[in-house]
Amino acid sequence: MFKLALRNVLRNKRRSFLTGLSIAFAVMVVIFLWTFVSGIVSSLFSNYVTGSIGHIRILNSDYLKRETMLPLSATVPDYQRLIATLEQDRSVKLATSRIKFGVLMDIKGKNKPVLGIGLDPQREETVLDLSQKMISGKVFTAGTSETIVGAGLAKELGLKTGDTLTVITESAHGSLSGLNLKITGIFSLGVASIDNRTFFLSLDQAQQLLDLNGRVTEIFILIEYPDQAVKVAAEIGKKLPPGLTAIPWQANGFLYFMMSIMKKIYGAIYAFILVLASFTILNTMFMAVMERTKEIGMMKALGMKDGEISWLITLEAMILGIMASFVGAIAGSLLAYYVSTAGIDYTAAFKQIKDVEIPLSYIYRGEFSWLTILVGFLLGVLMATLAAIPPARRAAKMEPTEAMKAA
Amino acid sequence: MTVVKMENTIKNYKVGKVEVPALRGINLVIEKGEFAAIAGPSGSGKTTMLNLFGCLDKPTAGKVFIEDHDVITLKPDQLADVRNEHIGFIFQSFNLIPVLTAFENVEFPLILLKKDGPRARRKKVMDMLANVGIADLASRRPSEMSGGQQQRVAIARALVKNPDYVLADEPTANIDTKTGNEILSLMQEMNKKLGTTFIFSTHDPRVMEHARRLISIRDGLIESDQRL
Repeated sequence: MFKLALRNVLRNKRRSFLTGLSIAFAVMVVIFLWTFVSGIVSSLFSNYVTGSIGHIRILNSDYLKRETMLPLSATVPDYQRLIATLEQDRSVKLATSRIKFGVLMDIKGKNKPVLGIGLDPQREETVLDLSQKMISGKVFTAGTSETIVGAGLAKELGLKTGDTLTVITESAHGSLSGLNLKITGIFSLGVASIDNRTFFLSLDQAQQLLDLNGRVTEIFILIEYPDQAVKVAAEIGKKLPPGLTAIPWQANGFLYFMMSIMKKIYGAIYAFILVLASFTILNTMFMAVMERTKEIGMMKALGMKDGEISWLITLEAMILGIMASFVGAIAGSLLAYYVSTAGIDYTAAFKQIKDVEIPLSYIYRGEFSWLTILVGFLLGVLMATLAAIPPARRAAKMEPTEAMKAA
Repeated sequence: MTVVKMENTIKNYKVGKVEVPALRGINLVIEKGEFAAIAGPSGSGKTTMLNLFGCLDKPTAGKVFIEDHDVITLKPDQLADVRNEHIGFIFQSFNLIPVLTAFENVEFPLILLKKDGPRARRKKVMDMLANVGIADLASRRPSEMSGGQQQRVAIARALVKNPDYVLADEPTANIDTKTGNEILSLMQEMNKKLGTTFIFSTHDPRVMEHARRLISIRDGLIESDQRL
């Protein structure tokens, strides 16, 4: 039966080839898109998470209400004890403190809002991987009045390693406060919204500048299983002192929306592509069945049953589907491999848009996964098989008397 | 022993909304070992009769018995079983499977029968190809054979499962006279050697000469039935 099906597939080589090509192409596109899109989604997620919202953050409840203003009046007190407690929790991978504050910088007579982030460079090494992201100089040392500046911001301000950055801002008590910071290096996280407007400094320097002794604006937490952030945040929240709240990443409406909508939209696109391709199988198998009316009639006359006939036709489509999906999966995995290593560079596009709020990377790398390739292959085979059902039924319903009709 | 029997068999076809009678009450008994020709002009009901003998179709009224099976009571899969076990077919246009070799074409009904293993099948097929004189062409595909050779493959395919009777629809219509004679001689030889019952339709007087029983039909009725 298999032999017969295989030879029937090879009977009209050009037609089978073209049909196979469309299946292979669809499988390839799905694997490529899937790899690329999941790369974008996970890079967006990781940029958002590491750059700003963590998996969970502990904030002052008042701070949360006015977060865009970066209010220094609503902060987290006694943070060191909190962190020590959090680190006992086995679901917590890392807990560290950050201070975010806004500064207006003067650039050629125009005010530019800039974000200063005070953090512990040693602890944050595993989060932001700063020492690997320096394009010149090195990361500052904790306890010194040093800073590193985002590449885009440095270019705009005309700053380079060794220069001094003067920061003047309003402290927690509303008084004006200033600090000269020595630039030890320029960093690029590869994310426009960070590189173009952020500088990092040591947590203690930020506390001093802002009159925030013993206080931070947030505790930044990474957990073992990001999907469970809502649950973990609720548990952490129960143990917090009054006035503080634990916020899971899912509470960031935009990110959560993007994560779920991207998956759905692209799921629909994959389905659409595969359905289109399976129409060619449907068409080809119908043609194959119709032109073999007499032969199928003869097979039934010889005693082949309806079920055996439809299995034969289905098997032909499956063989074609398997061969084509295999080729498509190979081509798709090569493309996927390329896009996940070389990536696609959007630097040029970002030159046009300076102040994007979404943390998009300059270079997008796909997320190479054998699972994606396997699923792509199986979807191709499945669609080819499903598309064979109507022609197979048609074949099974053909009359054996057709065999007796004159040529 | 009776292999196939028709009792007051009527078959009508629907053409649009009109019922067209093809067989109008046939009574006929074919005994084992017969070599019978059904003759008549085109449109006389020859093919309809063969369809009914072949379990390919059911009568509108009356009965058709194959061995002890009342055809009208059988479901499609059971009809397929009856065809598979009891009936061999030789078609007018050979109807070989183009992607299979001569050997594989002859083996095909044995595979559907699911009774023999590969070794037993191989022996039966090779014996039968030798019987019809084309053992050396076993690995050729239909497109690489002449019409006469293809018809020999078709005969081997019909006989290989040792059916109770073989139905042949105008078996010589698509081949030249000389080859046609050879094919008829072969069928006669198989009839004598293996005792297989043959029922074939024809409108060629020279073919009728080979028959030992000649059933003439016209307008869906038996006109004459003579033993020769």
